[in-house]
Amino acid sequence: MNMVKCIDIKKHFPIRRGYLKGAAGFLKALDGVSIEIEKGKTLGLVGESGCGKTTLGKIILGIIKPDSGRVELETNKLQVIFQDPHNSLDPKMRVKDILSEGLILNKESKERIGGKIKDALDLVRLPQNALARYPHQFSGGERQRIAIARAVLTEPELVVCDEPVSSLDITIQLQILELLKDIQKRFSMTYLFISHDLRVVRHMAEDIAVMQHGRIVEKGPTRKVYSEPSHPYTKILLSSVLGIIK
Amino acid sequence: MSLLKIENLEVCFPGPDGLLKVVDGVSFEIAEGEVFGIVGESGSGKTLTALSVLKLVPYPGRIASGQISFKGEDILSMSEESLRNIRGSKISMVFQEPAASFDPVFTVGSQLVEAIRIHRPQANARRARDIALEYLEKTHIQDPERVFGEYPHRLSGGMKQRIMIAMALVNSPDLIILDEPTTALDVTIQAQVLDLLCEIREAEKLSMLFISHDFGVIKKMCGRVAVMNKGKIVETGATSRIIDSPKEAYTISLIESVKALS
Repeated sequence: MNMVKCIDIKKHFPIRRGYLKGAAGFLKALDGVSIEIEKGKTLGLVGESGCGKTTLGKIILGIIKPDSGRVELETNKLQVIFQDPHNSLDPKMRVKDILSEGLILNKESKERIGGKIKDALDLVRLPQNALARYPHQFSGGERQRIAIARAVLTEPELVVCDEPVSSLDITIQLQILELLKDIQKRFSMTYLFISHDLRVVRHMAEDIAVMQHGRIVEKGPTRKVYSEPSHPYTKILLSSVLGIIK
Repeated sequence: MSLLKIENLEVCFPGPDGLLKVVDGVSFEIAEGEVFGIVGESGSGKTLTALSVLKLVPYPGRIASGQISFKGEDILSMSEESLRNIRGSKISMVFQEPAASFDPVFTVGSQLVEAIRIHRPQANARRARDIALEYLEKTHIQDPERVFGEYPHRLSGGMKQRIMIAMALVNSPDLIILDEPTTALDVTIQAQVLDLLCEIREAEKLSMLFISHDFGVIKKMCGRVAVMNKGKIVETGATSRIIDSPKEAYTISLIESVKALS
């Protein structure tokens, strides 16, 4: 069963040359994109900067509306984890308030919120005394754990992970990726995993879609796309990855 | 004789509980024509080590002790004026963020010309322009005449970084310090810029101090590498040896993480 199905999504942004002037042209951020993600699976969406990956994520989340095309969702329980844990956490809120905000909006009782927050901290392996502290008192990796805890608390069925480890050191990247996998298995969540890093996507996703200039140029099972890329752009992308194992 | 020799370098910043040693007893040498790498995670002290070479450690940090000799000359005891003759001329630097390295209100051409004429006052504007165009061509900028007159924001990240490399080369330096030069670029552009650096290194017989957090990049570029952690060099050696048989615990765990993700 598909958790998400996007059919022929188009999103064009007007390019204006000067104030009060009409559109001088259009930036085709998404130019007819169709993807589907199976329930409980991870789709890796890779491409270079400006290819439209984040725009697609935002359209699935309903943050922006497509110009044309349809998004079919099996759930309304969506969550998102952003790239930069320095910007995605309110610097003036304590971790306790950051984590409880979503639950308060869902009208949960105070006692239940308290219990859930404690469990969430255990889940992301942060100490309980983190609750009284502010985001700046944590490292990048710890902040991303807070962002993950916040996302998991509302029990989402689909999570859009938009470059969740790109600003982290490699050893921390690995820890966060393992945590995300672990949580996915435990709560059978579906991930759209957006990244520019093909190494990270291969680690995370069963299926992969490669984007360039607002189009999906290739998609399929990760293993197959990596071993036998068919589109020239995928080939260039893969040959540019610098591994240390020959 | 080595081109650059750093011995027991210590860089300190005032912290809440007294001085914080962010570079703690770092020593290494770079031979002429060598590409030497420093690899480490964020906060390990690699950038401050690089900045120390040009005595550019930002206030309130300072170089507390150690020795840096470049071609036998002691950098740390040099006057500001002699340092200015070295910076951008004998030793030049390329930073991570190409967008932040340019002045947004001048064309890239005028910034290249400025870099040339500061160190070569005898070159008139026309001569400096010719040199600039020559180096833009060397860094494979298409249509250098047009690019010369462009403002930085009109150029892509990859283009800007190529021009930064051109700017680092115009005064024929002996050593280029590259601090994460391709980290802000897409992988395909990164591959192109690294190929360009390899080519230039061959053609100009340059020495490089190459800083990166990415072992893949280091492997492609550097013959020898120092692994830094918490201000100290944990292990130094041939890049292939460090990757194949790391000795120290920190290097072993770092290499394991890199391998798990490739």
